[in-house]
Amino acid sequence: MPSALGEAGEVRDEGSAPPAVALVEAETGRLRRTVATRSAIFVVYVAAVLVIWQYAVRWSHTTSVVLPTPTEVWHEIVTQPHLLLTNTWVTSYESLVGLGISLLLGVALALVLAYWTWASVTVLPTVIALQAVPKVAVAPLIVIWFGLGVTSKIATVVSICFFPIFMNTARSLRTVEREYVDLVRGLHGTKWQLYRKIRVPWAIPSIATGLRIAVPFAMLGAIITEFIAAQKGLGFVILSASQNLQTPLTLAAIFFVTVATGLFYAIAIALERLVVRKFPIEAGRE
Amino acid sequence: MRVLHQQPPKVGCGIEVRGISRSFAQRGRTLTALEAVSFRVPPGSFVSIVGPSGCGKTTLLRIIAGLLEPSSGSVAFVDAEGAPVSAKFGIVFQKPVLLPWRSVLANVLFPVEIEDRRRKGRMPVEVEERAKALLADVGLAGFETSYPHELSIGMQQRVALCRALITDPQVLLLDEPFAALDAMSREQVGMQLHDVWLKTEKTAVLVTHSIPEAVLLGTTVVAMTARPGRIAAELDVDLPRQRDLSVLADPEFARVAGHIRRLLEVRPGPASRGLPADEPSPGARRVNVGLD
Repeated sequence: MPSALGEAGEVRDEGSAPPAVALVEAETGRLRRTVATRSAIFVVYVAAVLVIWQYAVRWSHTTSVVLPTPTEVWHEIVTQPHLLLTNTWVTSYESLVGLGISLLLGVALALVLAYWTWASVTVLPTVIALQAVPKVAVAPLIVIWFGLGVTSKIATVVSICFFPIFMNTARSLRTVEREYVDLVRGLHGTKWQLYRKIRVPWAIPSIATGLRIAVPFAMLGAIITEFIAAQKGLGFVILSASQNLQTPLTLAAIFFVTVATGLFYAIAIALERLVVRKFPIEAGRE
Repeated sequence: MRVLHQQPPKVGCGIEVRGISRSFAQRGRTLTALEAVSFRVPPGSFVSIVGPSGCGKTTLLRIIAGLLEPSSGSVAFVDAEGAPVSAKFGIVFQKPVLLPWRSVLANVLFPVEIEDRRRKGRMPVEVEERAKALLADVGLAGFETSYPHELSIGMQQRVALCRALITDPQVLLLDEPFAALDAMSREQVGMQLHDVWLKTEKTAVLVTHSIPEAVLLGTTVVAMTARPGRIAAELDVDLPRQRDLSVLADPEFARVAGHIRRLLEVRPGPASRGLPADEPSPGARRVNVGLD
């Protein structure tokens, strides 16, 4: 019996304590497999949803006005790529120009308010009060003011995107830690030096965060204003196609909005990461 | 400290703290942080202010640095004859307070930029060389282009010390500069600070809650009690100016530390959560300061 016990012990030892290197290799191998497996699962999942959609529509005899099949939507995309792409460009253009203006205005106003106290006492309550107004409710008015062209769309985008960018920037300009203020004051530095050399760089990551938050709202603002009055843009395509009961085209246009928004959001995230790496404020706090 | 040696001898700057009181309004009540605090810091001396947390030592240091107005009393900077002089400070805070978007070298040079408001263009080469030499003196040669988050807290704090020294101030104000460090770097940075002080003959004021740290580094120790912050005693440490960690075993060290401990009514005992670096001397009791 002792020999049998010994054998059992040996077997167990081999099983439970593999060499460390092998363990690491197994671990990375598993990781690599995990990534591949996850992607595969996702692809299969999407394919399954599309297949189920396709056959559910077909077998239930749902008309394409109510819900077209994925192949019908795909057909729209390949037969009218020019229509979809040019209108995606119009909506993207309105959103991106609006975002750019929001960025300039939001950052500029936050910088001014952070430097001059009197400005923050008067302007800040105004800005916050204006934020309480639902921008979608004002959009028809904006069309009256800025016309049927791209300007009214850009104006709506600015009215929505200004606030997150402004607020993020303004908040981080205010929240510089006391020690940093003491550092500059202890050197008899000026208010301007504190502002320029500490507070402004301190706020840069938050500007990028504000921009990232604003991106989906920009596309939203553009589309909504196109719904109200427009001759082009994906909002216009979606509205006119659905009014003409061209549901496949509507869905194709929605697909394009989604892809464009996702793309811009991904770019904004990449930009934010880049900025945070250059200005690692959080890392500097501890 | 070769670079610091090349500096021309400076007129020493002493500090006279005269009857400083400071109170804060807190939720409708008035909180007295400091009450009638007076003491002198002779030029070239190293004064340690030791006391439990809440005794207003950081408040006192901020008042000396001109970062905070006292409710009453005044602070004067004087030379050896008692004539008023204008003082330049180098401050080291509890945390390194480095600018995370600047390299180590650019962080050390930051005070030069602030002082030289009108300067345009590049930093003079000799200033840059001086910053590099300061970094080398604290063992950070080769880290000039690193960024703060790439360094340990101990290394960051040494960068902060170099930054405090770059403008060659007469007065060093040290606000618990070792509080964020582990025991090993505490001793190391502490001795580096001692060497800098010894060789540059600067006036130094150190705020700490560690009695051994205060006695090890200070030529004079000011003991403070809490709520309101008052001076309990001002003790001269009868040890040579030049010291190393061996003074921890010196009878004079034990005498001063013991005296302060009794003044601050520190109860020794196994239950105390004394900081590891507080009591490096063998056989000495652990202290329980600053944990109230």
